[in-house]
Amino acid sequence: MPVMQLNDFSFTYPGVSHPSLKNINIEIRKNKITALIGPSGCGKSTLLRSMNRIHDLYPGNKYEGSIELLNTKTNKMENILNIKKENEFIELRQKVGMIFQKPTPFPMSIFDNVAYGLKIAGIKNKTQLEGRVEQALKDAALWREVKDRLGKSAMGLSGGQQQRLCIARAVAVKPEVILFDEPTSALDPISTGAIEELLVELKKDVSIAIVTHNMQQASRISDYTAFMYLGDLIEFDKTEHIFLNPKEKQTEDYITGRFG
Amino acid sequence: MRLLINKIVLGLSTLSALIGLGFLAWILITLFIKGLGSFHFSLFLNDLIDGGLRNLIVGQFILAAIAAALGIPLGMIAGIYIQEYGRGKYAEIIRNLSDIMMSAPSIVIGAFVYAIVVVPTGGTSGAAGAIALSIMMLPIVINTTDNMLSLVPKELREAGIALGASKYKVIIDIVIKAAKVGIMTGILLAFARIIGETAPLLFTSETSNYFSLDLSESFPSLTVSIYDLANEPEESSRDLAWAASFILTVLVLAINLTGRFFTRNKGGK
Amino acid sequence: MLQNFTDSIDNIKDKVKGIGEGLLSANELILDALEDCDTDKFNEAKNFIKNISSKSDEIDNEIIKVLALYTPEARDLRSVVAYMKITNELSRACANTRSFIKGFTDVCSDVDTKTIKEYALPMQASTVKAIKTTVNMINIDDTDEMQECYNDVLIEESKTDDLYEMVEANLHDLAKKMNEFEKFYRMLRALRKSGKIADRASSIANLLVYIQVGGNFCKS
Repeated sequence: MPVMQLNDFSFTYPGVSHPSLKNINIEIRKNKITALIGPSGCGKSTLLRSMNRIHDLYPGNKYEGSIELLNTKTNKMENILNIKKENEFIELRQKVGMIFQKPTPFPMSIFDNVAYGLKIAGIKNKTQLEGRVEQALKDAALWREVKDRLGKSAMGLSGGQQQRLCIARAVAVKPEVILFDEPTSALDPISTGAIEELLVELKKDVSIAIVTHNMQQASRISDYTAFMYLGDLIEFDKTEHIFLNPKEKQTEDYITGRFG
Repeated sequence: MRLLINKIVLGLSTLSALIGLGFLAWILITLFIKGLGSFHFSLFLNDLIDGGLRNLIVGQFILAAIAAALGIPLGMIAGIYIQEYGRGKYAEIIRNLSDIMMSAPSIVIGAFVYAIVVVPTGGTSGAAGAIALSIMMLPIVINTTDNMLSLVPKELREAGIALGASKYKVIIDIVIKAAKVGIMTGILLAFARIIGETAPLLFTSETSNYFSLDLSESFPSLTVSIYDLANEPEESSRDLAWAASFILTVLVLAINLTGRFFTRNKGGK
Repeated sequence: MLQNFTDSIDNIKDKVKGIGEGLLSANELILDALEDCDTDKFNEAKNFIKNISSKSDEIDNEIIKVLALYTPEARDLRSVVAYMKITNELSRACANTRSFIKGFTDVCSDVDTKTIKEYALPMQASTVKAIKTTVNMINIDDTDEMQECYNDVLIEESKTDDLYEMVEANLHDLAKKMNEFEKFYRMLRALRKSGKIADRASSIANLLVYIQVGGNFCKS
């Protein structure tokens, strides 16, 4: 059951002559983790960032094809490339959240960080906010560590905690999909392990797409894996098929480490 | 051999540093000695007409404060525009203009304000002086705001957008807060700069011997008065000039040090 | 540790234990059956070791998946690879059990072999004890306890060796009376071994095909 579907999707950066993504056909399935792997420059981050249209912060992009997101109210797929109005963009990003490689805590208290998205969504009632913030921090496995210092600045947290804070912040608005762009690259192995466990738990509530340059991470936690190379989607299948019996030779070469 | 070159270079650098610091120390010591000699607390109680400095100190502050009230908001808005909204050409033009203005001779700015404010209004005024100071402050604030905002990582902005915040909200809630300390330090240093300026005030607000809060007339200014007093033949005037210089130096030093102190704290929580 | 990973390893352990317990039950029943040559009990025993081929294929495929997806290290790696070989051994043991059942149901109905039963029963009893201890070891964590159990298994295994030698010696004595019988008997034993070697060769060929072509572990 797909929650997002990309059909013949191509993408060109502003001022560049050739597309960075060519005819991508991929699905994000509900309550599953889909990993995007491939060598540097293959377009996996570009693809991820198209899914919440954050490219549009920098105008001049060219899109082709369609990216469809399931509208849970009407149960129909809607093409998010057609969005032009500011409030539609805001709605999109409330449904499709994003976590970045470098943890990005806002310069405010831990509570305000997690409540930020909620306030944008219009929740003003103090008790409601407190409840949602607590739940989000629990879902991100951070509650116990910060419950006694919610008013303190978020900048005082460690790297792994900051990243979990960003996850709590994203989860608080109850999105349908969360996009993770190499979320553990900047973290130590213990924090990485904690976040991987968190992701496996999270997929019960959200659908997840994750870009990772660490193949073992993809094989450990994902249900579906997409292998990309130079802007093309080479293979997309269940993770155990990709890692045990890949169909394409390029995929096999990459997974066995025969090319970078 | 390399070790020797190392030692020579190290020696020369230390020597240059000592020479530079030496001159600074010399200036401060001279000011201290000459100024302290003529210093007494009545300077703060009497106006120039009575041999004190009260009206001048208060006047200088008022001029600087008004200049800040004009220059800071305008400068910040321009700085925010060129960093956050400006695309390519226009942002670069404003940046270049700002850089040129920063290196404009202060007397030229004074002359400019003379031409556009003093002449049409028929006379010198505190308002003209404040305007001249604000024009001096503007490019510094623009530059600081622009630079401090550029230091904020782009991922922080993207994270705000990714949560559904509008660009405007991201700038106010997140980016400016993140650059807050740097911007405030810059503003403080800009303030320290203009409070010690003389040339922009020479033709615009001149100075006054009396205590005044009337901006439509010549307005008391510590810096312009130091210039005037130093040129008077009486020994007492020159002594007063020394005392005034001493006070001005202490003031500027204090503001500068406060600014540096805040930059130090930026590394912590 | 990732939930997926711990679940997979536990799953494999349970399946291996399952085959082990089936093997144990089969042999316990055989022990019973030997008392009075009960052919029904012999047949019932076969039920405990049915479908071993597909069960061990299942385990092998699970293990390959764990190796591909979770890149286990140290103890995890050792346990996963060891389970693979253990499955193999269990599989062969089940095959041996089936041959034993087949061989003995014939013998029982024929010549009076009271002396053989005199040795077969204690031998099977030792075999059962060995299997029981081994299957228990699957869930033991404490090193000392494990070492103790291992020693027990070794003791039972050497008991069976001793008993087999005694049977052989006895049969030898019997055979001296009938010269032809000995020749045929030895040929029989040799042929049986040859059959076993052929079996193993086909397994190896099967594995080589797997490396080249992919697909799943499958013995036929």
